[in-house]
Amino acid sequence: VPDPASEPIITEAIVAPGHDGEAVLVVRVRHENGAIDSVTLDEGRAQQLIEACAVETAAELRGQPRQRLLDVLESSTAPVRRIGASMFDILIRNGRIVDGSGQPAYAGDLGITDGRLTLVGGHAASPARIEIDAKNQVVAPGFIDPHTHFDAQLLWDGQARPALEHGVTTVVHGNCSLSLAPLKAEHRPKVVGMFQQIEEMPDAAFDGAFEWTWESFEDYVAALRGQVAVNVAPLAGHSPIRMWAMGADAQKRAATPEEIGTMQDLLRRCLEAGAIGLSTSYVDVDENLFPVPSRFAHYEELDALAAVLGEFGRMLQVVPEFYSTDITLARVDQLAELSRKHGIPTTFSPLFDSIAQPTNVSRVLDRVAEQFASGARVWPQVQTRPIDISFSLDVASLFFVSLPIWYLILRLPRDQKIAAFQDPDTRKKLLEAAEGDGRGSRFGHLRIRDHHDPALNGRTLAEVSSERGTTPATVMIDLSLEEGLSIQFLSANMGHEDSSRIGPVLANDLVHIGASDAGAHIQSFATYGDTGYLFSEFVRRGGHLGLEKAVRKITSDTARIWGIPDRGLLQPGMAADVVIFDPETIARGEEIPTHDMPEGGMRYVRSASGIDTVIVNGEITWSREGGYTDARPGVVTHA
Amino acid sequence: LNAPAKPNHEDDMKTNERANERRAFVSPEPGDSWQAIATRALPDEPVDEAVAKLKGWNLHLFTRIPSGEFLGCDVVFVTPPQADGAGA
Repeated sequence: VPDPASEPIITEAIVAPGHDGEAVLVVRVRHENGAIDSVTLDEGRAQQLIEACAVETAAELRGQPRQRLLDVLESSTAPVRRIGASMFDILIRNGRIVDGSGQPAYAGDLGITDGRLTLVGGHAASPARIEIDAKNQVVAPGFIDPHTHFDAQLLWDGQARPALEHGVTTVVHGNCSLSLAPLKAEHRPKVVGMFQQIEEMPDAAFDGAFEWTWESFEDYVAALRGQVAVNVAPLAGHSPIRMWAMGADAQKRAATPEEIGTMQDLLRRCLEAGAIGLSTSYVDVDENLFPVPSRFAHYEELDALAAVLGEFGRMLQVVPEFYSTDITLARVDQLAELSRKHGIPTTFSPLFDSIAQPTNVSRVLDRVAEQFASGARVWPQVQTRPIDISFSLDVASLFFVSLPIWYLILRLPRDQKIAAFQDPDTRKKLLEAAEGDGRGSRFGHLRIRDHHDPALNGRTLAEVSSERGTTPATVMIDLSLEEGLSIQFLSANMGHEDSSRIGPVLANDLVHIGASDAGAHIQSFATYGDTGYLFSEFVRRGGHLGLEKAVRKITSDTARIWGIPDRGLLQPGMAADVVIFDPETIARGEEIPTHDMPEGGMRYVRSASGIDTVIVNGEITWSREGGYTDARPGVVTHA
Repeated sequence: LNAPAKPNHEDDMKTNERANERRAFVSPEPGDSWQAIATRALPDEPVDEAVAKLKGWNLHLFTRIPSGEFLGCDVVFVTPPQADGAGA
């Protein structure tokens, strides 16, 4: 017969004040040997214990088995953190909380009240207006995409589709020296031309898709306010700032000291109105293939603008000459100098791995590490996805920029373009350009997609041309004419495709995962789902990053690098940006063409797999069951 | 545009101190010419020879519009690429 006196039990439970003013429960336990000790439970765990013992008050815990207490403690490996609320707006139960800090996941609930996190961990007893069962799912901070071009899209699609359904709750736009503010009315056509050339945005994305109601950055922010479902962190573009101060001379000459002063004042007003920083570019060209205004800026001008960034501690983003390691290294050194001098963070994108420069990434990261060690902040942005380009002959794709005759013809109006492809003399010149340089066909590896005959889809132009006894370029033109130019061709894995090389880079703590270009290049490839690909390819398949680290890299790391307040972590008091996903299935979907741009324009997109619910500032903006909601809870992060 | 080949450089991702030696460069000043930069950067050499060297070390400035002219933001190398080909 067991001696009741030797059974380990709870002997006493006393409510007491905690060190931070909240109540705690001091539980005394008698062990097998008769020894007495105590453990202090916070409110959440105390409630769990009361529920587990099926009692109503703390006093009734006396005599309960010690095992009940142990069960409660083992069910949650992190302390329950809770503030305020007696009733939650949303309660996410039974989730596996990955809080963005990189610390191990733990089981628990997440409570949201008035757009803020009010409970993280433990098991809530309080009621909620909306309850979500997240059993077997990860509950994480919303993902932050630091390199997008949603500038225009947000004005007609405040949900930034389909980025939101991939779990992206905050976007940085205005990258690469291009922004829609500050922008004088007379400069709109020029900046739209740059967007069309650099980011492959169609006319319809600007013409009539929204109303231009602003010139100043402040008024642009006002136009976004209340219209967006995602949080936005807009950069001010160096090119429109230069145009504002210099007019057409922005693409001709160095700025005078007075003009630099005007740019400084303008940038200062942008930052006061909510700009997260300044973007500039060393490589981009306008619609006439002429360098964009920011490229005419001498170092002194950039230094003066960086000084203004220093007043606010804001970001400088640049596009370096990514095709040359030596020049990229020089840019890293320049950015490091600006970072140290003005106390600002800097970031450059993209940093690619490619066969053309096999030592590029390692050399650049060595230099980045050296500069970080010297006190600079120079964050290289590395994308997760391989470089794939799809195109049709209906648009002037960047795929053809090194074949001028092709590129020029592709920029013609549609009827003229078709006539050119049918003209024997023009065809001859096109074929010679593509295949007559002794290097064989440039098009043989391209795969056919979206042809009305499914038997052709997935096959290479080399295969089809061999059967037809002709050349790949001939087949490309013929199939395009047969299909009214709508047929697509895929050039897959043009670089950055070897996961065994990319995975360790993404795991590097000095590498900033980004460079998605979301919202840009819409007719060449899908810029969505890079976050899903991070988990499917580099967490699950390759094992290069653990789940917690992968979440950290695209949440709290991004918020810290960019100085985005209140986001990136699941902690009480933080903004309630939350994504719930299945860690076993989260991935990017297949790349598909769709016609959801203004006036039915085409773009490539990817749907999301494994995402269950996306919450922005405490409101559900997308769910697997319900799709997109009408909520527009997004804010401008620095306004 | 040709189909890419698979990389086979196993050591590509490893640190290479020599490959990361600094290559000196200057930023052009307003109104700069090749001769002006050559005079400043390579003062001990005849100007014509110095200009020829600089142009040879900065081919990237000739592959864009405006070809061979300086833009304010340009990087102008005043030393040659590394002999082992690590530079690009």
